[in-house]
Amino acid sequence: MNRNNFLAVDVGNSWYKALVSDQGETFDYQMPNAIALFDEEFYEKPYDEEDVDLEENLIVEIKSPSIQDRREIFYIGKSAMQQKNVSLTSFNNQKVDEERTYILLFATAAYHALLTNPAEGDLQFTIDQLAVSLPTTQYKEKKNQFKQRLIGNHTVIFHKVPGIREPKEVAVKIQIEDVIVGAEGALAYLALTRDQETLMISDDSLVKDSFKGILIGDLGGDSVDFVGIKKNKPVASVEGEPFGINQFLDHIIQKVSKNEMYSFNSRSELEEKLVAGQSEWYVEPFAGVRKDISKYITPQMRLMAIKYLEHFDRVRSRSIEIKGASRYIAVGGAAEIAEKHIKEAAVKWNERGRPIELLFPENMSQLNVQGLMILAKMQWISKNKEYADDYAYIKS
Amino acid sequence: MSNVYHDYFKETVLTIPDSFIDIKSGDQHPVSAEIKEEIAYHAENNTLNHLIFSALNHYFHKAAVSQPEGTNGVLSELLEIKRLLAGGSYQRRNGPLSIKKPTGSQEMDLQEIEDLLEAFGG
Repeated sequence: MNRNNFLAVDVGNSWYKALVSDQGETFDYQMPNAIALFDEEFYEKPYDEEDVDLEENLIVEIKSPSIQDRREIFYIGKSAMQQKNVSLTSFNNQKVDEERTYILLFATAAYHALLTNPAEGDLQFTIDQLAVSLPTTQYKEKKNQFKQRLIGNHTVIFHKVPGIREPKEVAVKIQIEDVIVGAEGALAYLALTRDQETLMISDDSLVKDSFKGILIGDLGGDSVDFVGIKKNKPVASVEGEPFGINQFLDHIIQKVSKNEMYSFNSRSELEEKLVAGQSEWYVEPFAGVRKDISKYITPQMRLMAIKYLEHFDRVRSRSIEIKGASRYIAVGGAAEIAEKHIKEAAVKWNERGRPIELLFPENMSQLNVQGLMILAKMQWISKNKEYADDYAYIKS
Repeated sequence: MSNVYHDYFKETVLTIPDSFIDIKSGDQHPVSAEIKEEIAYHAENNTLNHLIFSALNHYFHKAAVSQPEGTNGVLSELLEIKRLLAGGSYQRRNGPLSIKKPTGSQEMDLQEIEDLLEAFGG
């Protein structure tokens, strides 16, 4: 397994989170879900290339059967956020049908190859096993289509790479051998109960609780995914809902732009502030002028927390399999941001005599991508049974 | 003893519940006799809102109360440990990145992997 490459990508509406296991070494990346069309005419040449950070200057062109228009060049991730014409995800977007998904996913893989191979010239990067996530609402119908569009060969051309001689391009050929798709939320349970390396059960008490039932509410950008776990397996009947933090972020962005004369360049810029904590909740519309924006943030976070708990309550009372669940677990980036507000909103439910005792695990926002890596390794073992004996933790 | 206290001069009214919920921890507490007594006294004294704001100030800006550095750190550590014990938090063990040879009873077989793949990715 240490001679192979695994890639796990949590395809989020706000962030792409990736884990790469490259010949046994682990790397992690995150990239804002943002793209913008590149126009040579407006490109500002950097004065000194040594100041340019590759991550802030990712300009890519993708040649792939999954992408119709193969001549467009895009800014992606952080570099896209700095553009006027940046495009963020729309509400309830269909990840499998949108080209941005493939642009960002292939570029993330190629970016890793570029960083780990400082040699000049074109590169080849083989991914023996890719694992990607979909929200529960899109999982069943779209899973196979997603696999088909990802498997195979794709080329990513990086333009304007700092430190590379003219014409400043590097082509990375990506070969994806196999894909497995997991459902958001259920993946978090895998990460909570199993060890990243040995794949063994690492939390017995949680597995024991799952015999009574566990309800996981994964709050993301545009979807809240509820997954019931029973007897250590996901129960399919709990469906995702189109509700997430993005609508609240957009509301805050609009208010701040209208009242404080400051425009956020993307949701992720605001999210970074939210994650950093209340001390960072200000903007500088003009140099040296600080405006407090907590008065726009707090009401929105409260509202989101209340709605999140309402969803939780509705799901737990509606689902027959989960009736009598012994644990409720919050996961996802948005739940991490609003943890304090969710706890405060839970007081209301206590008052009404319908307590929702939520658990907030460590690094909630990373659980899905960690679960994907576990899934990738398992899939690889199952496909390569002849090598399985090489691994200490498999019975021959 | 009535349950509603007024301070007409300062337009402050406070109703005392049977029990209240600590908004930070979510625990229920009864209202102690001492608190009731203080509220009664300050309502009489026209300083009810000052009492409330002193209490709020203490609750939200406790950190600002000057204490020797050392004890503060120790106390917050203790609080953290207490919170972990109470909440049963899940901490992922970040063990060494080597594949440990597990003991025989813990071994996974291919069947288990197949079942998990079926359940989580099938």
